[in-house]
Amino acid sequence: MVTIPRPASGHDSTTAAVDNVVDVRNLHVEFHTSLGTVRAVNGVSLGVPRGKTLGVVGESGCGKSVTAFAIMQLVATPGVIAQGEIILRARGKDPVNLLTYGKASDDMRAVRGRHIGMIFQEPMTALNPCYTIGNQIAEAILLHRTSDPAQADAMALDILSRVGLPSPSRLMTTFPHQLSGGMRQRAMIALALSCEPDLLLADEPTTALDVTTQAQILDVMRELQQHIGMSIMFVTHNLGVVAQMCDEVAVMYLGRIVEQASVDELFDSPKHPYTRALMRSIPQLGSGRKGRLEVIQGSIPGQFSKLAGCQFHPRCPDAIAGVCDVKSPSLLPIGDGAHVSCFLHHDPSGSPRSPEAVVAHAQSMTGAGGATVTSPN
Amino acid sequence: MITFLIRRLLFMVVTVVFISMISFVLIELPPGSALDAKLQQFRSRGLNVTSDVVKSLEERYGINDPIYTKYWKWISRAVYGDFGQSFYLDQPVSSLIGSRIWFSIGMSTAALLFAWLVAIPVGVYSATHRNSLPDYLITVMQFLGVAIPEFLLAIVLMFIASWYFGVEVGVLYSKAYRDAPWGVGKLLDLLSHLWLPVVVIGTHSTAWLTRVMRANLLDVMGAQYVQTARSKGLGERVVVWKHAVRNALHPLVMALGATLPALISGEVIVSIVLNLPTTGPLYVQALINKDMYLAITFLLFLSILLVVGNLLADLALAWLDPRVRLE
Repeated sequence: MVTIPRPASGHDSTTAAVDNVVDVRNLHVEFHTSLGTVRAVNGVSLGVPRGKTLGVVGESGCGKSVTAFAIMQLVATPGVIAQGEIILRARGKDPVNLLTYGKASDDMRAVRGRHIGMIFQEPMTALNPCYTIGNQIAEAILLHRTSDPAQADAMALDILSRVGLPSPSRLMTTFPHQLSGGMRQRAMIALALSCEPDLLLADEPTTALDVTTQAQILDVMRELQQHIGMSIMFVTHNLGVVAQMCDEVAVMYLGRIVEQASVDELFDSPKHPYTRALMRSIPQLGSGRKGRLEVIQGSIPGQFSKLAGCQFHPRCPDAIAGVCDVKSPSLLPIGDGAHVSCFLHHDPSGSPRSPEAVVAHAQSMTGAGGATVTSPN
Repeated sequence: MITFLIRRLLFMVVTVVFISMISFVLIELPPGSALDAKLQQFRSRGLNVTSDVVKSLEERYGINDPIYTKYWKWISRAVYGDFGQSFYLDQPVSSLIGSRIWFSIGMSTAALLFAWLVAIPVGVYSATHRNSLPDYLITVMQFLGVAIPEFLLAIVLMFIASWYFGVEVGVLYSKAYRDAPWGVGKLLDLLSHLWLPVVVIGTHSTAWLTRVMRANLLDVMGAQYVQTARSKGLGERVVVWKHAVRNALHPLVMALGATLPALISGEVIVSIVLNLPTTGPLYVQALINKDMYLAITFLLFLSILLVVGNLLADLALAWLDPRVRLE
């Protein structure tokens, strides 16, 4: 497997060879059910640059959230991490492969909450209804930072005042059901960041919120990212949020990363046909009400089905018969710092194709009366 | 909270009054009266009961009064603790019940505690070790516990207790203590005899509550806040007992109100089988003999227990879950 997302060449500003807070390498997560094995994550490799935000996007069920939970080793049963490496480079700690720790080991528990925090999609259900906000935040602090309850309360109050909640001291004794969704998500962020983790896993944190609240929550996250100096892995299917929040983006399809690039690169010239299709399906302002929204043809294959070749080829407008449905492409660097897993961008042997060759190839496909090809831009 | 309590207490009184009316009517409905049974008694002893005597007796006891008059006669005295006279046993109802009701309540409470103390840990174990061999064993035991009739369980346990452990069954005190004054020794002796009926009465609820606890905990363990608790770095034991179990207790507490009367009626058969001086057997006797003041008073106390049980359940729920607390 390739080491990503550090491109060997390119215009990335960070120069250190590897300065990712977390490197996920060749991660496989499987769910063994009575109906068969679901390979939810099927060889994912990605890295979260230190102090930066990595967006992970893709359709529902593509394995985004499972990847995040796998980093915490909190994949719900019957899911198991079948293979892979998760290298954590926390401040003041030697790099360690988290998968060498047992799921329930003290070592792993010392990482959860302390070095990696997590926030979830549903703020309405993410906090325990039976305990006050203060109690739930102080609980995490007491676990990792201090054993003095008074000090833990003071720290909890401090972090609560940072997430932009009104009268934080009153909130300490407030129960979750007394707060609105946006306030709960702020409280949840305060909880996840109470121990100043190196990495925040945000699993669709704004999906359940209205747009105004969403913008405020994103602001809070960015501010605290600066303040604590942490990295964020932002799982979402909202490309608008990605453009706003992220430095790098990894696009997932059916348990694999199909493309990882800087956010500008990805939005300017998406490489993978799936990414391009995703981009086209964003509604455009000013496109007129007559214009129909583009959709990605077909639907995600059943979770138990096994496809030969590239997982996207049945839905891909540019699929090359005899290649894409036979061989599975690997995630390989292409010229300008991005990584793509597609035979349009490199030969089955692994050497990159020139952009001209890609265009020529696409044209030949159109000429042959095959699928329609829309140019990336 | 105070106004809530006062309002609830008022509603309770109204409920109990309505229940007393309805049950009074229900008990009056079947033809015949306790007097008939009494006259039968006299006749079988060879006494000649003339129709004049019958008439005067009927008048004296108000047999032919309209039902609301009867009800008023009874309820207006009941408020002062005079629940009338048992026709059949020729004793005041209050003294008949008074000696037994505390015993019934005590035993039901003990059975309830037994059920909870067993059901919660076993249910939690069963849910957290889902689909393991112990879980399957517990499930089998649960179905047995729910399915086995109480009288059968009582007989089997009686047999085991007396055959293998030499425990005297069917009595509450050993011979030595039977007429002894109250003391620590007598209390211990009572407890050593009491476990058997408590286990028998509590088995059904235990099995059922274990099932409920398991199902609920499985539900709650899938909740987001359980993942949140894990993502803080908490150990599994804290996650389960502090964050999950408390949220899974709701239905158990809600069922508390209904469990109390269920235990008391379950106690009837067990008390007959085990020959215990509880209210159950007396109640059944009263119904058979149409000893109506005795029967209606039992019904009244049962309904008061139900209403009180519900209030306790509501208060416990408010303590457990801040969402149902009143501002």
